[in-house]
Amino acid sequence: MRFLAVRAATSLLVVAALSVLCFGLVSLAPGDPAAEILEARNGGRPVPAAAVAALRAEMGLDDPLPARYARWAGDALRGDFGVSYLTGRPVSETLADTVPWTLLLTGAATVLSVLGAVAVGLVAALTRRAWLRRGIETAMFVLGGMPGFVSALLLLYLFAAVWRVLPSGGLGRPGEPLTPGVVLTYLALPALALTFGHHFGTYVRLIQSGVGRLRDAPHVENARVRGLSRWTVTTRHLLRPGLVPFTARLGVGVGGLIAGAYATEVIFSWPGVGRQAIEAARSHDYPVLVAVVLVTGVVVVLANLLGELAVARLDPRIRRSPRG
Amino acid sequence: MAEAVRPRGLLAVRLAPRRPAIAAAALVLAVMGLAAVAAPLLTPYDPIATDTAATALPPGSPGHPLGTDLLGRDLLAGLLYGGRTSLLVGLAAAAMTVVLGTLLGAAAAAGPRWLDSLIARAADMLLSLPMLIVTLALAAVAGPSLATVIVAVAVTSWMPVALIARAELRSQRERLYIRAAYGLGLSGAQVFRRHLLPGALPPVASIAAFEVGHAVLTESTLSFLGLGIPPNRPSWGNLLTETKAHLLTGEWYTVAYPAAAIVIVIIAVNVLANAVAPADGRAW
Repeated sequence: MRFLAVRAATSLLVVAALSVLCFGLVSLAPGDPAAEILEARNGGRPVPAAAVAALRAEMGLDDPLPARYARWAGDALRGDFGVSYLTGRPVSETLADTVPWTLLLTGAATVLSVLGAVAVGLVAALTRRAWLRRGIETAMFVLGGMPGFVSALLLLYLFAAVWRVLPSGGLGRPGEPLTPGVVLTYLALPALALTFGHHFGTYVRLIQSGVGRLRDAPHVENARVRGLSRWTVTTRHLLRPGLVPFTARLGVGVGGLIAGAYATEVIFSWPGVGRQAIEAARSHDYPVLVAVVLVTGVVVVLANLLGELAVARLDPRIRRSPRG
Repeated sequence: MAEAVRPRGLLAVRLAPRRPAIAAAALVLAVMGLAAVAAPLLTPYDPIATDTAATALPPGSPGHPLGTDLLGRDLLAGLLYGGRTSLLVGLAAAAMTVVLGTLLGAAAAAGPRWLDSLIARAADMLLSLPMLIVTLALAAVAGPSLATVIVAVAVTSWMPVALIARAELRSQRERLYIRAAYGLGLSGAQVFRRHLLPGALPPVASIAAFEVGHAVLTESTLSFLGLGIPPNRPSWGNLLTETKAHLLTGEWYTVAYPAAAIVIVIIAVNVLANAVAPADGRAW
């Protein structure tokens, strides 16, 4: 419990730091938001200075920075992230529309990553065929040099252009009801791209080294001699202790996955927060950008926390360490 | 039969350190660097000049060995000049990352306690956040430009360098030869410059190599998303921005050249970085 409390407190601190960082960054950005809003609503034509000054006062932009931060943070805690400069729509509505799709995408990619990496890593660690192990190592090394968006483009080309088995992006045709089957069809390609574009090689190597180190360990030898089945030896005595380094990395990796979802969502026109963030960044729609960055940060911190808890579950030494 | 414990590394998978791979990687990087520097000698075309008489030529066309895109821009010229930008940003951003990280690490190791814990805690905290997102916000606020990308990469990736430099300096400080240097009457600054800093450089060097690959990757991602290098200056990343549709219409090679260049550079850099990395695998 103490372990959990300390970790949770640290996570809260990280989120608070991130919110200060975001808010500071956007407040220091060049340009006057009030003027930009009015010009956007006025079709890009210049607006009188008096109107700008009035809106500045209304938005509280003339207050000192700490006061503005306190007000913004208070609103954000209550789920109010202000309105988009561009559309005038509450940011919280935009988030409610997009966050579930991003969670679905990153969740699917995480499951694929874990299953795929465990399978490939086990083969690489346990095979006695040198060529197979070397082949996997080389393939993972090449994968490690591939930016996420490049592997996404490669998968897009193979599956949507050459073999034409999966749609190239979006989510359903216009008017098509979103049945689970349809969603799955459109989810497959971005989820695959996200899986292979981020840390997959690292995961495989961590499992390979974690399990490989134990392969000839005395306790495993003992379990085999006791006549336990191959399955039991592999899952209980090899995989469980061998997964610790991988699980420790997975928490951080999921964070990278969520960040990587930005480019993936743009490539596959997936209706998630990432695409929203890129659009907001391009059009200087700061309330949307800050909210998205903050929400992503919270999800990432949660993922890190879950990863640490999982490691503590797998490895009692960490759970009971005095550092807490 | 016992297999040696594989060295750990977080950014890249390790290959067994065989000489041919290292030599090949160095050769590939040297050729790419030379080609980027000598771009004006290798192609007569301007990478952003459009030519309505020669649009969408396939590879192998006379005068355009790699073909042209839909606006008639020569793809070889784009690749060469794009390499100039991408390699320049990669090297400059990595250099800035290493300088910034080493300075902060040294300040943490040599400075007062509060500074040390401030820098170490800040580094830990930033490491747990996905930096691509912060880079993105930074690039969006500062506006897309070459300098923005370099600064954004450096500001968001100094942490591993700083932590390694700090750890190395702290462990060196207790060594006998350092105490001997103090005993011989050298000042703190002299000891730092002549003995401590050189001792901390090898581990920093291996991570510096990884940072080049990381910088190339970040630049290409930012530019691909339209938040990095502006389109009037070709880079491997922004050459890919317009080309997604080409994958579906048959001009796959417009995507393949810059994408392959990025992947080859990062892999070659990783091979070299692994070769420099200490055998105990402390580097990332």
